[in-house]
Amino acid sequence: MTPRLILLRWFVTAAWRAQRGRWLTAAAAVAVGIALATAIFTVNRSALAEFQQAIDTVNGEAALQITARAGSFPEEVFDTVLLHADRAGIDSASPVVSIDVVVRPPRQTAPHSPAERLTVLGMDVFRAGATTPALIAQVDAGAAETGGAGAALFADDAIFLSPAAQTAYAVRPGDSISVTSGLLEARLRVAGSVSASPGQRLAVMDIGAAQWRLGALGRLSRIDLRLSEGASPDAVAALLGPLLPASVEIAAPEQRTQRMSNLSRAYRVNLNVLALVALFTGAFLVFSAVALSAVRQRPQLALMSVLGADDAWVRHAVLAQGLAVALAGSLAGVAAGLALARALLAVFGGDLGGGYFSGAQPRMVIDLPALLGFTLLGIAVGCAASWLPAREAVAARPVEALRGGSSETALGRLARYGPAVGLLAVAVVLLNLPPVAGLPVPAYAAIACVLLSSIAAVPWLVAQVFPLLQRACARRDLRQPILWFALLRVAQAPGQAAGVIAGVVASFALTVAMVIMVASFRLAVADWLEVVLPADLYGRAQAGAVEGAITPALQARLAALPVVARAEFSRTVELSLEPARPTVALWARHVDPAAPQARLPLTGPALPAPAGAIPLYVSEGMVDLYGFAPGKQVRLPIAAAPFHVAGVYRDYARQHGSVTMARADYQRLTGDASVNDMALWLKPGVSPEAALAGLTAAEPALATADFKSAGDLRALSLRIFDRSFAMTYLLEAAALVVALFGVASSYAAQALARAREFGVLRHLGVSNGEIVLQVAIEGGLLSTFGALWGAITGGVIGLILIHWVNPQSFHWTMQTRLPLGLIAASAAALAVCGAIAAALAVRSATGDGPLRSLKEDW
Amino acid sequence: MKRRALLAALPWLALPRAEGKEGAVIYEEVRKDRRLVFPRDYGAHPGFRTEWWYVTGWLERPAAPACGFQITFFRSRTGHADANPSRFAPKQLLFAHAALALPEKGKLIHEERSARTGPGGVRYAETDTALAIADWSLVRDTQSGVYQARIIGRELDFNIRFVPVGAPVPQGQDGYSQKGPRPEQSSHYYSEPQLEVSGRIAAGRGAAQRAWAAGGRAWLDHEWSSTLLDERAAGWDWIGINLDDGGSLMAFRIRTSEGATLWAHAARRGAGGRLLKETADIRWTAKRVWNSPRSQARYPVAAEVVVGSEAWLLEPLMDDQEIDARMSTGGFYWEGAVLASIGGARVGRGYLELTGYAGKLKL
Repeated sequence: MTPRLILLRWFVTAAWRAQRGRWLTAAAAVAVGIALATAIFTVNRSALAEFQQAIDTVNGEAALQITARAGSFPEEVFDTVLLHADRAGIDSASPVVSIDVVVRPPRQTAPHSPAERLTVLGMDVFRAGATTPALIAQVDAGAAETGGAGAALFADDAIFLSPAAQTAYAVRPGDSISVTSGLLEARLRVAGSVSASPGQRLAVMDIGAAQWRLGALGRLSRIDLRLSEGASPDAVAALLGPLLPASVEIAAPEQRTQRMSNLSRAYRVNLNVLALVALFTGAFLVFSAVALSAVRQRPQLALMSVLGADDAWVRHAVLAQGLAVALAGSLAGVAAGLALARALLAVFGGDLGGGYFSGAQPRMVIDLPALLGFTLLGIAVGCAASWLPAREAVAARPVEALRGGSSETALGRLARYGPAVGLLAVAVVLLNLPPVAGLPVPAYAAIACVLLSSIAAVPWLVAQVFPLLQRACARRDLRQPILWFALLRVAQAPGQAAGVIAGVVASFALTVAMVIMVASFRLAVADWLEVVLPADLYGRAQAGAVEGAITPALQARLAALPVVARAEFSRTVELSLEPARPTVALWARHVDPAAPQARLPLTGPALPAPAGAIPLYVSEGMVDLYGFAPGKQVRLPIAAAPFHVAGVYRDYARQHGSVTMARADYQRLTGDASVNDMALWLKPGVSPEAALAGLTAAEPALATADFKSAGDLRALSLRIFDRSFAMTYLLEAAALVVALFGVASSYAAQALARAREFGVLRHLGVSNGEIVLQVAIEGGLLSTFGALWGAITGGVIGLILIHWVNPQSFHWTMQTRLPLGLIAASAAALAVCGAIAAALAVRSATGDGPLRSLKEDW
Repeated sequence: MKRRALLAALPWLALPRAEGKEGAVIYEEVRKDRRLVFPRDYGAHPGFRTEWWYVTGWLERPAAPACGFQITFFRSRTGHADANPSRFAPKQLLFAHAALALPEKGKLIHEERSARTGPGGVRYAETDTALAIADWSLVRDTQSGVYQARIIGRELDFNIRFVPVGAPVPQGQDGYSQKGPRPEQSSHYYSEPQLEVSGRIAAGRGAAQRAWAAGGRAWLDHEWSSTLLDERAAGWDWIGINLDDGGSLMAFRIRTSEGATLWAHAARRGAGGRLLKETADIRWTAKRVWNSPRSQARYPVAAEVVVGSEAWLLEPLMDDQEIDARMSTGGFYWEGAVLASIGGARVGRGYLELTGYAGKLKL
């Protein structure tokens, strides 16, 4: 080891010994940021790996898949494919009908347990062997004894459940299970199992049995293709494409994985940005720790300079401290992040409460390169945070520095407003840029700029505000000594004050921003629910019927029931407009072309469709994602005729887009008169419960349908909303805790750095308690200031979240609401916490007698 | 007769579910008094649980030794409810096996197809033999009675026709063939021996493919039934030999797991199909046993079959003629070309089938 390095090590070790608590806090802050980022990344990685695996299981080794653009397609497509198979280079083709059913197990554990949705794949075992061998049913030996494996494989009532599904529904081979598809209830026999990824709930049946028992006669969901040797997927798709009806598309299975990933991408990015905010807060703590350490070490560093150490060595001595704390924090953060990820996966599941995926808890996937990346990110943050103090240390004149440190010189340079204004200007420019790859990257960058600008302005603002405050107090003769000391102290050392509260400003700003965004969003959703749920009682045929389950005859009978004042029916179909994008919902329902706003929460006026054109109302997402702008002619895979976009409505339930059309139009175009949803207005005085009882008594077929009153639906929707923001609240809390840590640790360090100041005060007769009170007032003043400034910054960021980030990532807009009471209460709490943190930190550090404190002034 | 197929097809056979489940399939039963009616009975009998058309034979190749071939179509009625209107409903399944026994290769080239009837050209007819699983087919021309077989696999390509020399030969009692001690353990069964074969066969893939213009003699069995073997039955041995004098010999025995004969039957016919001898007095003695490296089964591939007073010696074209049908009808069995001789003099060529030697069939 060279003498340079030995000296460096001594220096870093000495710095560590001098202020262990502060270093630990700084490291902890970095750790929190890195831990959150690591946890979110790992959870998401695990979830995607799980879904990738689940999708792979379901898709098997098919090189290409023919899938429906809208729900399902007629089985004649399969005959067409077989007819052209040889010429197109298709080795084998396997038809699949996929039906989501609701399961009622034989032994109901809880009488009102929520209905379980299960995907049933109807397959032809002979054809699936070539494309999806993993999905071939495994006949249970016990079931096979009663007539051979074939008897079970080809029985008309056999279902094969994945191990996870068997566990979930508490059934074993030989048991029977009741499933509902639409209004059709089928009693099936569990005849064996099907392999799936661990935790994946999946069922397979014979395709003929599934079509019949689950109400999908004549329909297919997809056809898996295996290609002949040497045939290219593109060539096959090009040849086959023109021969197939417009209701299907040909795509490679990878595009479906992309679709799955796109489903939750915006939500994930949002969470990752929040994690980075925590890291950002940590950077300030590293900065203040390194800066104060450098200030304390100034005499030593100056001595080294006098003894011949060059500038590079001095810079390295300071940087090494930041590096060490950041490294320790990063490593601890990655470890804590993995532990957090495990806990999050167990509590929230793979989508972090976002509600995008349902099903089992994914296994944790550890991505080493990414973890290394997070460690490096933490180190980079540490180095960046120590860069300024290192520069200061080099720039300090040795003689002045030898006489003792004043931290104010180090940080005083920051008391300028130029950088803040510059950053704000950059933010304005960024906000005028379009999103990148469907993500609001410029808007996030603008948020970062606003935040940095706000923090950069803190020293300058402190230097302006507190002297003003001080003069105001002086004018009014408010010279209560302790308050006066506190005010003077803060006003005279604005740089140090900025170090204390930068973290508070940053984290509170983001908290306020999120509070404003979530409050606005929640109220917008509540208003929206009022418009979209006008009826008293809503009923839905159980999941996944391939066809709408409520026949016209049943619709007529329902409308004629004595308790029902008015009945409206709707049909929902999933449309696939682009293979790599999540599906779009088509909603065929009652819409009055003269007054569409009665049923749809339109964002602007409705445009009357030109004569002969079919009016189509689209969600905001359709405009952004597919260019379905008002007044445009657009096409949908359900009909050859073009549609006229007659209006845009809000749809908070579907960020990936939905379209609505009048049911009469839908029925005319598709011939599909069935529906799966109903909205019922009840006669005055009839309660939803009474109506429901009468309804199911009159129509036993509806016993399996899922009915909810409008009130229940609203409450349920808001509950789901709150759950999806649970993760957000968690991150905010983490950022605030880090900020308060910062306040406490800053004052703990100050107690040491200001030992001489306190010594003088004690010498003048100020009691220890009064010193603690002074520091508490300082902390309270600074925290109040930080909270106020943070709230203002947060308001600006909230606006960016509402008007840029939300429309760009989720494709919906909302109005801004300011929950002022909540913000004020949080700010007050923060100010009090700041005062207490400061007081506690100083009290433990002022135990030494005044003489010893004074002696330090050599 | 080909009980073999019965046993081979066993996994696919559904017993009508007990307790009279609504819509349960009722299978037609073999009736002793039912006479065969042609051409109707060339076609399929979908009311019965199991049915097969089995063509085996020897082929002469130019500048190459004679080889054996097998083409089989099985039909199986599952227990799937008749009421299901779905086109994909697996009520009727078709299976096909094709094998080529080339002595220079030393083992069979074997391929198979399995499908449900319905979409994809999987069909049978009830009016005449007209079977197809996509590009595999066996079709009888109603006017001429000539069969055309087409097999297109990865390593096999058959395009051959079979011309009958006479009327079909009903087996057993006018086509009622008893297979066990109980009268219901039986099938409807007729054979067409001495079919004249001509056409083209090819084996191998791509550049390695070799093709021959082939000709020879074949044997067709068509048999249908609904009833399983006797519960004591473990397997069976069967032969169908085209005699050089234009006659034929069909013999089978149903074995217990101890190897004892549970039921046996043999019919020796002269040229033109005239019945010369019919007996249940058969003694089947193994002359050489071949151990299969795949299934570990011990097949008596060379045997002496004493029918009445005649001792027929069977010697295989090659020892390894085992078929792995685990992916279709289930299990292993031995289906091979054999030479028949009496007293050291060759009298005919045909096929020997040995089932139930590879242990109890696993599902």
